[in-house]
Amino acid sequence: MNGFAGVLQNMESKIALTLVRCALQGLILFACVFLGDRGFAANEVHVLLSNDAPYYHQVAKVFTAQLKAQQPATEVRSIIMSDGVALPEILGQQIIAIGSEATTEALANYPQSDILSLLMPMAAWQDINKNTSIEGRFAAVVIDQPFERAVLLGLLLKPDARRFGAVFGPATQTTKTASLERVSSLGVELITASLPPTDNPISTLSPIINASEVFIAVPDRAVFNRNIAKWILHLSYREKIPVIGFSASYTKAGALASIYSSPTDIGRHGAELFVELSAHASDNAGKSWRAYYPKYYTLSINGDVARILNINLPPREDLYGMYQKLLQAM
Amino acid sequence: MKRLLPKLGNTLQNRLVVATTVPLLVLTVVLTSVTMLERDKAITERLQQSGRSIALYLASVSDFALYSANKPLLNSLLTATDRLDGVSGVTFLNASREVVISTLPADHDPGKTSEPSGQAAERSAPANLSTPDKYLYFEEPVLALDLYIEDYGSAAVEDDSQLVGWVIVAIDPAVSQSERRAMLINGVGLAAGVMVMAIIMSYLLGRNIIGPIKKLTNTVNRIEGGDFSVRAESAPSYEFNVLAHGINHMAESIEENQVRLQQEVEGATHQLEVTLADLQSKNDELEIARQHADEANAAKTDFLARMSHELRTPLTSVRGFIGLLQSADLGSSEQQYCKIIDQAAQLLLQLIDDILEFSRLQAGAVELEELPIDFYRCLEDPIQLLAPMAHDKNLELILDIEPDVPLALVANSRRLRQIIFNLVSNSIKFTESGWVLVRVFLLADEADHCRVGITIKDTGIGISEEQKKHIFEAFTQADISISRRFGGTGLGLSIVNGLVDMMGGSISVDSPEGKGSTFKVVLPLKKQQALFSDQHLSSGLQPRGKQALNIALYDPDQASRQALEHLLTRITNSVESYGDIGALKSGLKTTQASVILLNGASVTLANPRAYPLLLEYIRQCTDLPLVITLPLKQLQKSSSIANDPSLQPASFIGKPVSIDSLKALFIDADKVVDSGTVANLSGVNVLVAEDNDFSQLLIKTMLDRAGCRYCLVGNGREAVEMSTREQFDVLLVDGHMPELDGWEALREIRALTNPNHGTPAIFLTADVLAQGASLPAGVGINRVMHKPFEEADLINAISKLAGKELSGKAKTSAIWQRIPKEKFFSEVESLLDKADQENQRGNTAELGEIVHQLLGIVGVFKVNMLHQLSEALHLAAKAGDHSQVNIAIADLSIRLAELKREVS
Repeated sequence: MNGFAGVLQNMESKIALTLVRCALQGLILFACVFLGDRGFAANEVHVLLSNDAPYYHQVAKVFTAQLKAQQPATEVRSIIMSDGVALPEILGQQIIAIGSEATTEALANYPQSDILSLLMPMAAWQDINKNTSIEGRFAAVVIDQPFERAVLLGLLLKPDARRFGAVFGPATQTTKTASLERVSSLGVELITASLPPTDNPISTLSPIINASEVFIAVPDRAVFNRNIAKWILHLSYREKIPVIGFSASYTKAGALASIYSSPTDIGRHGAELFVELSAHASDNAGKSWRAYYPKYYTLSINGDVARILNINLPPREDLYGMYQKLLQAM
Repeated sequence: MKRLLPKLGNTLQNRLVVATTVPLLVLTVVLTSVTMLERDKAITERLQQSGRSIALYLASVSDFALYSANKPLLNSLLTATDRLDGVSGVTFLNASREVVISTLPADHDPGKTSEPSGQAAERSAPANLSTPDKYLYFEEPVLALDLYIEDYGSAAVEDDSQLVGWVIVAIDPAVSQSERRAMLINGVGLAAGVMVMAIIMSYLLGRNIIGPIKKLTNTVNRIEGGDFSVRAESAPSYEFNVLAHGINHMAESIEENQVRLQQEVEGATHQLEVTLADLQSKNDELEIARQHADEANAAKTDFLARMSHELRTPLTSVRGFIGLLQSADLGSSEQQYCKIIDQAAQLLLQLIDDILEFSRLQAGAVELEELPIDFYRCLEDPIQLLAPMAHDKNLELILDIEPDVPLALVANSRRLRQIIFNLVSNSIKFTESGWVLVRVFLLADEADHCRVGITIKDTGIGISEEQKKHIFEAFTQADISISRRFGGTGLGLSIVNGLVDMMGGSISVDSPEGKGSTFKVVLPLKKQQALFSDQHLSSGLQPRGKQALNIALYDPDQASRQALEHLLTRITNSVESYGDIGALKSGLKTTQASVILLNGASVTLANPRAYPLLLEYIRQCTDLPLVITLPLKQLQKSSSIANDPSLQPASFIGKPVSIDSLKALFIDADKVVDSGTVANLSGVNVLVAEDNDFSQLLIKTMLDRAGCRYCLVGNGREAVEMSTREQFDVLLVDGHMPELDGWEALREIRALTNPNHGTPAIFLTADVLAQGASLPAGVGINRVMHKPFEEADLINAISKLAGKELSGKAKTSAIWQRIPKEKFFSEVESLLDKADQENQRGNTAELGEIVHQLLGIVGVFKVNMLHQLSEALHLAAKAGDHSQVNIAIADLSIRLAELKREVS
């Protein structure tokens, strides 16, 4: 089991390295052509961490490393938020906010700066954009994966499945339609339902799971997720329906597999995006300044669940390759 | 139980069984009880733990079913749970505490009585419910725990549990009853088994231990019974083997010892028989030796008797003829020679008396004849005799008889006087200055007898501790130098010791050396049934002048003052005592005294020159009559004072003050002093048997003077013959006579055929061992008189035995009462002339007689001064001090002349 996980991890690392190598080459070329005269290398970038959590540091670390690799002249300064401590006055115009809280504080305190938010949920991005007006530009790399990625992973693991169930919460209602549209071309039946927070989730979940061959766990607000995750896993386990989760924790809790972006993935994508957005400094319309699904992802597989569900898993490297092919095919 | 315990403990085996079983029993009971209690507790805890675990398990697995109200799922849980032992039912409640499903009977459903949902939600901790019914209930909340499925975020700090309901598990405690019962049975059974095993093992162990002990005990008993051939058997254990070996070794040793002892006993028995034979032989020899000793002792006694007789007989003759010679008309030189011879003879006699007395005491031949005595005179007489000797050495001689000492006693007067005389003379002898105090006191007083203490205390040289050890031994004095210095045979105290011992008393001496000595004699004495009339002479007697007799006594010396107080108490109840002149002066102002008694001795001895001044001082204070006591020497030296008109009225009495002198001085009675006049024995016929010519002549002279008739024979045979021919009033028989000695002669005379067989007899002997009881018995009275004897004693004895009254007093008294004053003066003058002549001749005996007569005449007329001077003359004559006699006669003549002038 561990051998298989190790193979998967190696495979994942190699894919990531390949992607990074290609991206770096592209970015260098891009910088030489378009940004050579703007002098970004001399800019100063402030990284604002929501708190002292390790994954925030990991994002900042990877982001800084990646940025230094691309723009060695850029000065990166990290600020860790803490309760009751006022944020310093930042002279620079580029602020990297890691986490929802950091993003909220950056928007509130530095409304004229260009802010790139990393590691925040899509729902939160939507709420901020809806309720906040700022003078600067604002972009984000969210932690949510595109719905189709989970469906494709379900298809990869259970190729004969055609009925995919999903329940959307209050926070994901706005993305439900778009999500359904993106998977419509995959030839699978998507059975969905909306679950209000006050309802007994069993009655909603049970028929959806009973009718599905693969259940996609849609990330909503954290409390909502926790409330229904147990029942989703319980019901799917009883019905032997594989669940595709959205975090490594989900996989450990009992989902067959999960697709998610790690802090490394986010930090790396963030740095690349920052370089890219900096290259479009003249994009005053701000079309480039929007929310991006993470470019890089990570797959996690629960071998025990797979064995219970009689699902034969390919080697980890093969799994990534196969999954990459499916994505490209889509 | 008390009866059972001794029975159990009467054998070693039982004791062993009890000793091992009882603690084990107690231990087993305790351990079983503790174990069962612990197990019961464990069962209860396990039951509770089981209920709690089931409740927890159900709570953890039923969250989904309860959340989804999935009754089939809950039912499947109930079904599975019901299979568990002890679970009587399960109830699932939703979050509102409404029963979702239950397998409990309706009447036992705890959900119905549980609290409302709001409160139930607060209950999060596991709990067991004890309800009044028979079940135990365990209730647990069912919580739906959220899963952590977020990789990022702060979900961990938020509350992740949601109450979805409750599960209640009912456990029937009865399920453990069978287990408890089984536990009880097992525990008790195990304990009983252990006990039985323990008893059996104890018994077996005890038997294994006791068995060899019993065998050893039997072996020891047989050895004890004398069977030394028995041997202890080997035992299975090492210790018993050692013990058996030891017993066997002991038996062997005893057997060997027995044999050896038997041999030794046989040897010793044989030796004892030989020794007994030797002893018998020795005893025979000793018997023969004892017979020889008895014979030798008898020979010694006979020798002593003969020697005493043979020594005293010539001495008696010597003294008798000296007396006769002194009566003859001799020159002064011859008189002086006679006196020296008489004194030497007296000394020799005293020596012989002491030796013979000691011999008698040693031989146990002294018999104490106890007769009614005047105890006062027995004490006073030796003191009076020894007073001149003391006064010559300027010693104060004090006799202090305490008032409670009874005087009418029964004792041997002679021996009592001898004791006092010896002790007092001994004290005087060894005292150079100071005083000799004779104190008599009562130690115990019973109805018919009393114990009297007599102390003779002096201020002499004392006796060392070493000397004290031998003080009462014969021929012992303090040391040779004392013997040389003070003289004496060293027998006095030994004789006293013997006499006191014979009287049943004790004697001791306390004498710090150089600080005087104190002899203490304690005597048990019988009381007379008829008391002497003069025990307290003041009652019934009237003082002269019919006035009350009140006496003021002045004596600076405490001891002599106390002695005089005691003496005066016997004649009057009123005595005022003064110890210093100041007190006397004060007392005289208010005194009721009719006379002042002044003990001048201590004053004059201390400071003679102050004496006249004292008298003059007293006379200035009072005109009461003075009575002054003085030693004879002082009396004569103080004659000038006595004759001083300024002191009158004053009288002088000699010291030591006698009760007679006081009575004569103070008591107005028609009595005369015992004159000592020889009784008139006219008409008395006496047979005198004496072989010694000188003794015959002496007795003849005495009897002639007494005026009696007598018949003289020279031996016992003649005495017997004479007794058959003539009736005599008294027989006077000498002990040692030729042909037939006095004893044999008296024995023959006591034959009934002899007409004088009942005639009283006086047995004259110098044998101090002879006693009246040893004389031939018969109807006649026997009396022993030891040589030398006094004339008066002889005459008195004859008069008593002849039935003649001692008429001397009565006749004398009757004659003197009729004598006129002129006759009295002429008679006194005549007696004084005779006394002077006899004194010049050195005729002490005649002088004594004359002085006795003088005392009687003066006593009759109660002329105090004359009486006291006569007392002084009497004492001087008795002491043989011729110079003092001359002085006393001169004083009497002067006083008589003064009296004649006063009367005229």
